[in-house]
Amino acid sequence: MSSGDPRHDWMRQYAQGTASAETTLRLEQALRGDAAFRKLFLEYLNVDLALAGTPGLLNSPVTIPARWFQGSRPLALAAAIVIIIGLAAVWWWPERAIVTLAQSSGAVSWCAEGGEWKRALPPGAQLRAGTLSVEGGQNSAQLVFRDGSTVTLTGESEAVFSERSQKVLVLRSGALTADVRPQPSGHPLLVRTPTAQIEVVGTHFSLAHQHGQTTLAVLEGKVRLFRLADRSSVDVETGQKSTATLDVAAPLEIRQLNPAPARWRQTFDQAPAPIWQGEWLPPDAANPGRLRNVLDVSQRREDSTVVPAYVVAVRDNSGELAAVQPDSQLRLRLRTAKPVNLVVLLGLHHPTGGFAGNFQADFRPQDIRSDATGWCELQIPMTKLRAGMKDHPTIPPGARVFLVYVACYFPGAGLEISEMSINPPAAP
Amino acid sequence: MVLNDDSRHELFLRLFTAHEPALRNFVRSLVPMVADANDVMQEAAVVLWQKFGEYESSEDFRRWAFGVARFKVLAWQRDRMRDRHVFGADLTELLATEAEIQAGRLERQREALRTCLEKLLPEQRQLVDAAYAPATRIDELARGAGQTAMAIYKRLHRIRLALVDCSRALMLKEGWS
Repeated sequence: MSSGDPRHDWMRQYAQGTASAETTLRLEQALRGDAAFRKLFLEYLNVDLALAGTPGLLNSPVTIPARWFQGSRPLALAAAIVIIIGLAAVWWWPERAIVTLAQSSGAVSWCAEGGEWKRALPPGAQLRAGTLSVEGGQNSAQLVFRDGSTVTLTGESEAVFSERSQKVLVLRSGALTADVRPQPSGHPLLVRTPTAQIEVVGTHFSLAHQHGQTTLAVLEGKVRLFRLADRSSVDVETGQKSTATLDVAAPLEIRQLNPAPARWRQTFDQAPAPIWQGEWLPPDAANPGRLRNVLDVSQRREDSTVVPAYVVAVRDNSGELAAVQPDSQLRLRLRTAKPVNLVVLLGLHHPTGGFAGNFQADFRPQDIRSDATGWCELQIPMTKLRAGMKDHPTIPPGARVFLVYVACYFPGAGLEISEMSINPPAAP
Repeated sequence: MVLNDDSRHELFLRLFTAHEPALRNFVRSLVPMVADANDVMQEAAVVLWQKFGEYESSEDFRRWAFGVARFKVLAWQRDRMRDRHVFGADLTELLATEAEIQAGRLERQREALRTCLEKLLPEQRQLVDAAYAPATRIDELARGAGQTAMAIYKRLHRIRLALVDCSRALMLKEGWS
């Protein structure tokens, strides 16, 4: 039996209970494809079990030399006290908080495992393992683990989080960005989605699971992505992204992240991406292609009822829409059926990854002046946008735009947008 | 024939005791931590006893018990999927089937271990006796031996592989494939 076979070491770690997720995945793959190895695996564990549990099979163990304790009675006593206190802590510390809700906006709710949903969570709320839900395209929630690792859920997202031997997140849907501190050896942060699993040792990345596909974008460091459908994996490094679906016909591919352009223009003559919000109206003789507002969740009241918003939004969870400077300008071409108040919001990532905040501007009906065709152009300098979160007070130079969100709160407003663009300031 | 409670209990104990090692090996192969495997095994035993009334004596007890244990393992895996990687359901089914088919062979392997343990070098045997003694902590054992815990784990691993080799050789002579 070859002692150099790496599968034997995976088997050893599995039997010891110390196999990492990656090792377990490799072992699983090896077992699935090799009947002889499965036979060895069962026999190896059979030997382990028999040694541990067959009466009379083994001799009495070697007595621990008494010298181990001679002269160290106080030490032994102290150790015993530590063990007793440790055990008491395990028994009496019923359910430990593992993350702090550093900040949130809009409809954010949390449910402990087996508990009830809680809303209106204050900043600083200490949360135990459970499920966090963010409703509404413009809303977000930032969680900070005890080691300082930060995960921000944005948009319509739901994630289960826990931390035992390692941090684990299950992103059921939606998007997150993460700034992960170096994790203990052999215990990476695991993030699982319905189609993929990633292991993170310490890095900046964004991850989204929407419409059956998981996209990982790494801004700094290296993240291993496993496709759950066939256990294939790729290492995604700084400036790269990869997408995993349940389709295993093609190998997992790594692509370069596009540098976010300083100038960006989006029209709607073509069908929009599925993750954008808005009803698509194709171009016709009288009008350009456009997105008409759809219903979204703005807030949830204490009694769970929803405060609706009527929105049009363009999103790129990898933050590739545009890079903005403090003097860039956002331009919108829009119209409404009635005079309404509008909120325009930009969601930003830091240039090196991680959530950089939401910034918004409010417009009154008199600010929205239509031309002869009924369309209005709004020019919005970045300097007019105010921070939506106190921990992100200013727009970082080079921030990457992942969301342009336009909302009104009046039913029947008939908001339509035909063009969005971001431009650097005009040369003097 | 209708059994009274005492006879039923006795029959259950007899059957369960006979098949318990094979069941435990199956559970252990899919539940890596010994403590978790013990929990799953305990839950499976409770269900087996509760449902023993539904068990037809003409049925193969081993097959029936493996079916119950399989469900318990799958339930454990579903619970644990949230916070750690566990084997997929397809591999679980495959290992369950093979563990059931090989139950006789694995039982013989456990018997062969008595002979194989005698063939270990004295220091190997001493290590196995110490490491598998109840309540032994490998880190303490390592400290006493002036080695790292990892070194002890690796030595034990090599001994287990040697015991597998030895048991295979013995069984081959007896006609086991």
